[in-house]
Amino acid sequence: MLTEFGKTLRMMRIAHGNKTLGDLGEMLGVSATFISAIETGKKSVPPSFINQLQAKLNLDADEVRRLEVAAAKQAKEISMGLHDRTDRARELAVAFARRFENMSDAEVEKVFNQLNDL
Amino acid sequence: MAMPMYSYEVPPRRRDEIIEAAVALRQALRITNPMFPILQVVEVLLPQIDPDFSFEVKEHAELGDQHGLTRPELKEMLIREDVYEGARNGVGRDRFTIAHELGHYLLHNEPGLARTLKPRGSFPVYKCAEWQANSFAGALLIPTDVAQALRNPHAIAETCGVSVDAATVQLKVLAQKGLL
Repeated sequence: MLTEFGKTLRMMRIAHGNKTLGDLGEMLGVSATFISAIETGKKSVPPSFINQLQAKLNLDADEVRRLEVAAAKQAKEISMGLHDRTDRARELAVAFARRFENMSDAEVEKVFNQLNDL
Repeated sequence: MAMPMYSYEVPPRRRDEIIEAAVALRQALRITNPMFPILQVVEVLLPQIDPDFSFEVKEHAELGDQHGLTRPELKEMLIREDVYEGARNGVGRDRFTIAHELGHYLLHNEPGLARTLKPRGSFPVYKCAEWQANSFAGALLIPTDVAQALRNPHAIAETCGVSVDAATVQLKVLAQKGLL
């Protein structure tokens, strides 16, 4: 069964050139099995995957946004690159991760609003 | 083309009905190419008609000795990765496997369908799910007019993207019906 992300991705590969799993795999340099495992949620969406899709399928900003929202729903964990960041920026990432564990829904909304205002 | 020792017994279908179903599908999808675009159909067209349909490519270990597995009640068709790659590369046998699975999906999808797993040969062939799916795949991939024009298994294999074996079987079927 496809996840919401899987259905969204399938819709986009069809809309942008009727691409099969194998076609898209070839464009991204991965196997059809790998794309399929992402569509069914067996594998989580790799960090740079949506950016690669954007480039290869010529997705617009709205399509990227829809993929990001759907990907978040099937994410079990995320990883963040900390290369080339200041000590202070790293401190923020770690502090956020620690605080995130017991953040209430209301607090999530508050942080979301602040992020959007940045 | 799965040929297990056991098969599901399903409601009977005559060969003619199955051929008609294959012709109707070609017409509904407006496919006139003698080389049936089986992957485009299951991966691109079917999902647009039926958004809940799920076509999935699975690792060899997940499906074991099964080339494909279709569960109409879950609206899913699973294909083993080597079979999928073969179909992409135009290998007749692998294209046939996917058409065979499409046959299961379209013919054996009634909710609450009475299915019993029985030894092959313990019930009439026209009630055998595997026979029905093979009959469908043969008719879908080898249009009768193409077979009539070519009449040669090697030429049919080349033109329709099927194995010489599948072409030979389909010629025999048509000959029995007096269509050659």
